Amino acid sequence: MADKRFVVTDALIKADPLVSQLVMAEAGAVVTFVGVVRGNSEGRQVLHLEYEAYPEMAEAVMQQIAEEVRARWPDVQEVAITHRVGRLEVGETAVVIALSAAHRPSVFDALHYAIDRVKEIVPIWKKEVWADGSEWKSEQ
Amino acid sequence: MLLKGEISVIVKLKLFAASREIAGSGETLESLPDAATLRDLRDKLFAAYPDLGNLRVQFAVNRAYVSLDTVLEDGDEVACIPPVGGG
Repeated sequence: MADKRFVVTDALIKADPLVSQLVMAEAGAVVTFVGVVRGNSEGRQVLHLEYEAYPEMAEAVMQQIAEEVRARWPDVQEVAITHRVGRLEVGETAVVIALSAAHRPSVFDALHYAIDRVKEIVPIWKKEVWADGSEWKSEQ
Repeated sequence: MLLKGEISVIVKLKLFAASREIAGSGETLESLPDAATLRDLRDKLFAAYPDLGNLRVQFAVNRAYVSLDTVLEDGDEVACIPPVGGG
């Protein structure tokens, strides 16, 4: 994988390459969040998800989130976010967020903030497809 | 020569997810009078597609969220952004 920190892709995604990008001599802690397609939603069986993005803006907004993270937790060194789009099956990875810092205290809060912001402002949409219908879902 | 109020601004409008399905297209060109704002474009869209008004859409101009008072320039890329749902 190319060394690109903020990516929207229709290819399968994995956490390991993202973590590798962040590991450097100064980093003592790397945390990752891996978001996976769940097989049920509000009691309904989900057949698959369809993600759609405004990719150019989504990558720019991911970079903005990384800047917000570093402003709030100045010891965070690197942030990388990859989000997959297209048709995703249950169990596949939809999003990976990884960030690094010299020491561990701030990385968990920073990671929590980053995933919340991804869900709030990155222009990506998720349609749940069930046996008897489908719907665009948002937590907003 | 164009007089004030004539069509002089053409923007590219991108629509996504539920808004794309309501409008039946993911990308259109919209013609607007000189000095038109994003609010003017929104009102035109909501008149053409009333269901869009129920979606709580936001708008971006040139890939950044902006206020409805933003004056649109010829060639701008405007995006209609329904509630997002990544992650």
